[in-house]
Amino acid sequence: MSTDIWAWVHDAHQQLAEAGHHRLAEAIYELPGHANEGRNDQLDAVFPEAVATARALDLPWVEVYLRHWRMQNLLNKRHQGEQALPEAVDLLEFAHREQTASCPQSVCVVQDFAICHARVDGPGFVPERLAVLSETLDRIEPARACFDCLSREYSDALEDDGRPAEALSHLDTAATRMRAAGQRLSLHFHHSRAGTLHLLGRDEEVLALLDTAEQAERARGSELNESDRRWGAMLRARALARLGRVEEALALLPAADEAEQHPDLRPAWVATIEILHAAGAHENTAELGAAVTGWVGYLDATGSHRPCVDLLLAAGRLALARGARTVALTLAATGERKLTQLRRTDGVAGQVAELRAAAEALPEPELPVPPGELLALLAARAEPGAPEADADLIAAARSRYQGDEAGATDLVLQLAGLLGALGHTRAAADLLWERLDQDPGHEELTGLLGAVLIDAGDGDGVRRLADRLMATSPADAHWTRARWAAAESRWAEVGEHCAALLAEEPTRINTRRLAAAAATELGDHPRAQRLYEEILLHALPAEGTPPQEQHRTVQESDLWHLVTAATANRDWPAVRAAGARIGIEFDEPEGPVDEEWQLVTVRAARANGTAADLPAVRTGPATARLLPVLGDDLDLNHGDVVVFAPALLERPPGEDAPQQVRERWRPVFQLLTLLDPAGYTTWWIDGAWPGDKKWAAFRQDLNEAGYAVWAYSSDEYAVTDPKDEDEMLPGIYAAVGVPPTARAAEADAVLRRLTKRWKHPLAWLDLAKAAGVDTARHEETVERYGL
Amino acid sequence: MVQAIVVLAHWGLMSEGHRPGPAPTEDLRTTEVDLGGLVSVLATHLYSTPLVALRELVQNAHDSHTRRRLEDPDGRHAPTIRVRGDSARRTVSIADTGAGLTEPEIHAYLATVGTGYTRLLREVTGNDELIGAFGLGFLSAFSIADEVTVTTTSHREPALGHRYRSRGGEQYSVEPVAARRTPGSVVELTLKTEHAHLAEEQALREVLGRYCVLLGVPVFVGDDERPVNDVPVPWREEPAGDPYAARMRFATAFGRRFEPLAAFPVGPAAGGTDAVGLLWVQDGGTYGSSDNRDLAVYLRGMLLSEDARDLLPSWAGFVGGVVESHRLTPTASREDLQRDEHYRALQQALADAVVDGLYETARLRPAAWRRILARHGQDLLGAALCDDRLFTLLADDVPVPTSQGDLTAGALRAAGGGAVHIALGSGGGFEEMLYRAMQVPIARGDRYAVLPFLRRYAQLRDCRIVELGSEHGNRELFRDPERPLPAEERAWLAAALADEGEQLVPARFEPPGLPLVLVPDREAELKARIEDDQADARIPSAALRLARAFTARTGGEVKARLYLNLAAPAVQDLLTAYRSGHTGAATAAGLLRSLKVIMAAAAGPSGTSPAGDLSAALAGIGTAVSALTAALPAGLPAVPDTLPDLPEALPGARPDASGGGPDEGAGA
Repeated sequence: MSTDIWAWVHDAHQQLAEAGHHRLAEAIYELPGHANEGRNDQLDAVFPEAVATARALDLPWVEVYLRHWRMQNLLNKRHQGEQALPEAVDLLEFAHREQTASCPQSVCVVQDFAICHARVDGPGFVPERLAVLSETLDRIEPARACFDCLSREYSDALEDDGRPAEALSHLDTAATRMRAAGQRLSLHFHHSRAGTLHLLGRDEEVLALLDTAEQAERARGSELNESDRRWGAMLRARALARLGRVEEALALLPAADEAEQHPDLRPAWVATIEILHAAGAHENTAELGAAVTGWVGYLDATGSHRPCVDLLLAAGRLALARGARTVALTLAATGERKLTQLRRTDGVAGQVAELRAAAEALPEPELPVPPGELLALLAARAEPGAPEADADLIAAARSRYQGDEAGATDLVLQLAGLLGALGHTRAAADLLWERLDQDPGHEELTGLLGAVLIDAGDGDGVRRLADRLMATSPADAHWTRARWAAAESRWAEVGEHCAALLAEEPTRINTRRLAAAAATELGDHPRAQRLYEEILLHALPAEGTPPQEQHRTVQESDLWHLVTAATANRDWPAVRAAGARIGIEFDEPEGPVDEEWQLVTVRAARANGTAADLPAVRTGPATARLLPVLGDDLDLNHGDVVVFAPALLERPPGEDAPQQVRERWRPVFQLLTLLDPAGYTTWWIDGAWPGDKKWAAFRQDLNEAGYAVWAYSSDEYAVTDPKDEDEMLPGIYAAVGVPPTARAAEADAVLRRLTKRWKHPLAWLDLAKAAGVDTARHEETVERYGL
Repeated sequence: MVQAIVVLAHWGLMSEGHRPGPAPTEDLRTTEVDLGGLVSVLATHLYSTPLVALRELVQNAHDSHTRRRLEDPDGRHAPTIRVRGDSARRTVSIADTGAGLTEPEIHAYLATVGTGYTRLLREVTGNDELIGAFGLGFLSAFSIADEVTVTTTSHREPALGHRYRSRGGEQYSVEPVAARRTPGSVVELTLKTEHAHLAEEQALREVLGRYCVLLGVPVFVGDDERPVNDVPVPWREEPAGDPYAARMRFATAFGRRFEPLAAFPVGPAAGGTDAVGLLWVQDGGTYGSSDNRDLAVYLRGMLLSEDARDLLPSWAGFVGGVVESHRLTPTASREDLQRDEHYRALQQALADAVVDGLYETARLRPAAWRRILARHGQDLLGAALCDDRLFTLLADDVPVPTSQGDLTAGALRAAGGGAVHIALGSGGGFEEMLYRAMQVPIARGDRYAVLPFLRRYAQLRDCRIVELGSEHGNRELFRDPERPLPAEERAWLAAALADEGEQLVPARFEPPGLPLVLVPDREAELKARIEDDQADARIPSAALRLARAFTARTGGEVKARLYLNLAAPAVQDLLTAYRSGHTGAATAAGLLRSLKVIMAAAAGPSGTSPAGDLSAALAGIGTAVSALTAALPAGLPAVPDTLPDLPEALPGARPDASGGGPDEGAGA
């Protein structure tokens, strides 16, 4: 077994670089840094390519190495638990195959596997972790770098078992052995020891240890990286806070957004906040509570069960201190759910029970009105209330409510909304699910639950909801599925579900709007038009319809969409009819709409997907004729009439914008489809600029012959002066649009005739080839002018 | 390096003392330091290349001009520096028309280390144009020369001339010579053999062109009429014409390795840094390596560091540039910079300048922008992840490698029917088969930065992302059937199509031409490997126990899922035939079963897929064909309605079409 990992890394890097695999060679050097210092984005950028290359080159050792470092990042920086377990197991197996067994990092993979269990449920897996680690420690020498990591991990397991004193002595013994073997202790080792000292209440020693460790690091000429600096500050702030040196602690404490960015920082950060708050040196706000609750949800989702419970207990203590009864109860309920996922609950089960008891002991607020009237009262306030206090009021109203089911459901909806805003996303969804049993037909309830699930990207939940609704309220089931499909841009399915829904409830308006949008996305304009026309048919009259039903009346956007769809279908009477309802005045009373309105910009997509903004003349409410002669990266060309979506893509400049900006502004619209192709073919001309006058005459002559021309080169474009190779002449590079009536040979003749008297010839090699004429003069021009 | 700094500090202290007075010129004097030791330090430790000695001498010449201007502000002197090389004689000379030295100055400044008039002068006058710092400059000449002479005439004693001469630097002599025509000095080096190449004037032009490009005093080589440093510096003078063209000219002249694609200025940032200069996007890159960052840093007009790449953001591998600053502090070697707060401020300012510059380019120079995207697409993908503004700029423009060439995320999305498809694996597998059939472009998730870039794009542009090869992504491919199949039909299909360990899943998926597809269960695969007896020998026992505790949670009975496409005409026909009791149903099912096995064999390496035996499947095709083509008397139901028992048939032998076998596929 090779003993020096870094020597191996160096060799591997060298060999890969020499073999020309530079990117993998670089990745080998970069990846541990990204992983260790929490540069998660950069790690995610490099990792997939590196692993794929290692596999393609059949380099299993390199694969173990790469996957190990990523695993370190997932576990130590992102605090993933169950989520990382399948990969940890897979990697463990991979790192112990015949071809990888002697890889120096196979040992580290065993350690990753142990850490993963520490994240899932550290105390629950203490005996297993100790067994795995001691088995591995027995296999290696203290001179190896892994000895350092494994010893830290071992001491962490002892800490999780409530044995910090043993943990410290384990670290100290390991340190002695490593030093005796000539091995230097890593800064991580010292950080780990600082953590143990903190557990033992020896915070003065924490500070001293961090100072000496960092000094030693600097004396070696190695700069602390960002992550080390952050952790140094975090550990100091926590120790200082407990020593009562709150000012110093506050100065060092990382900002909340750093904790937001780095999950590894959060437990120590929240612990420090608790100490500082107890000392009256830090606020305890609902926003802080929401942030910490969000982190609880993160640990819940990544399957870090025990860290999740530990953090939610802290969040619970903070909520109790704020007197936020409902929030504290919600956390207690989350805690009770999480306890079932732990193997060992001594210590925490009691704390969760205490949290519940203390939360229940908090006074319920007095209701200013009967429970059934609370929501109206809250809605009538000029200023929104504090969300936690509102939640308490609504919860109180809910427990005393005795009216009909719908009223109870309204209270649940409000409460769920508030809890969601306070970070309790899962609890809010659970609340709605629970209510669904009592009030299965409540449209807003299923609507909100659907929205919550769709927002959370919970496809399984959406399916569960839809299946459940199918029995009682198939329309709602279809609507839920349709919205989910729309959120995922599966337009054909949107159409299917909407059609099924309309079969159940033929007068629905919003369903048709969604179905029409889906049809437009699919390019099915006849269907879209039919749906918009049905909207006009089934809509409620604008007058006399109450505000909450206003969405069922005809909106102006419906008419615009109808105009667009009808235009795409060339249904001109329908265009005119819908246009008249919006107030569009047409120059001609009937027939196809082909007028000259204003200059606009139509935004189309090139073959490679980038946007192309094309000047055009608007010829109707949703049509425009394109002006430029275009290259083959667009399926459009000069003279083509296109349909666009008549919603502005960019806001007009404000009144205060410079005049020039306001004057140059043109409305920008999204291209929808090609309506009437004009059939132009593009050929490129290139060469020296003939001068403004000649060019203007050239353009006019071409236009008169039914051709079009569009200059692509800027003022900076220059071509070689054939008289003096070091000099440049101003150049022109342009596209000539040849009408469908003219053949290439005719176009060639026209260009030849029009440029005959020019001092410098232009080249149009491709056109000449297509025309079947002699290409020699064009080749010569290309050569002489350096085109 | 550390050693060298200690030596210098030491001599810096010594130099505070009084210098001995001038002694008779014929005496050979001993330099105030142990030059033998110091020169070796200089030559082997302090400077990375002998060229640095030349730089130091040119810089002395430049300082001498500044000094003259300070001491004689009204005097008329035309500052020039001329460097000549003579390959035949193996000499290099550096001549200036600056202040020159008096004899006491020769003793004081040429022969001592760690001081230097320059530094004294700068401290007294606060003049920033003086470059020298450590008083080492002159002595560095001995790292490349056997013999050094300095012939000088001070502007204060224009009638006197002196010549300093030393071999090896440890001992020197000073003798009177005729005064120079104009005050100033000429330093002549007789080069050591190994440095003879420095005497070639073409080499000198190249080196000095780079070192002196920002130096105010014109530097000539040989008899040239044009100074090597006559490229207009776009941030110093108002250039004639288009400022952008001026920037591009400078970048072209300066960037030796690559042509610039676009150039943008660096200006002093508020409260941050005084640095000014120019950055440019390089054309091309070294094969396989994306980090071609190239930044030259000048301090008071003189090149300080040729490779200060760490000042540029790590993601900007395609950027080159030049900056000058007065605030940066060089290390003792004057080839690198101290990492102080000015350094960090400049790092930030440069990162901002790159982003600003790219924005400007995208807005004003679409052609250059397209070239940048085409050249550096892959690096930009990664860069976008490191900087939010850059991401916004690049989200729609930068091409992503896909199965159908480079496409922007928008094009990928449009072609994917509103969803962005990414393959996580490095090819192969059923997903690729499926998507090859659908002809949807799939982003190469195994390429640099593609996956996180597209994930963020999907977030920003609110579109669906399908990660093929992930459990969730695979589920995306298969939609539920419109109506669930009756249990009895499902059972018949399972018996007819699925092999052992395969679970039949009725579904709908694209393309309709594909009737079924087999998806291996990764958890079951892992379970099998962990629970294999061989694992005992390989994996340490405590870890293995824990791993088995994990795999015990999955049943492992389902080794693969067989998705049956109810939207496929073939499957619909099969079901119709079965429902109507058509005698061909079993034969048709046998064909589909063979198709499944053959596709699974093509999609994955053998052994990983639990699908049935390939040779049996191929034989099954033969059976079906012969059954379908058998000439039969009308009305006789002689086409077998069950699959023959293939595994028991002899390999290669065609089973007897009329004989049939046990009713293993019959559920009807």
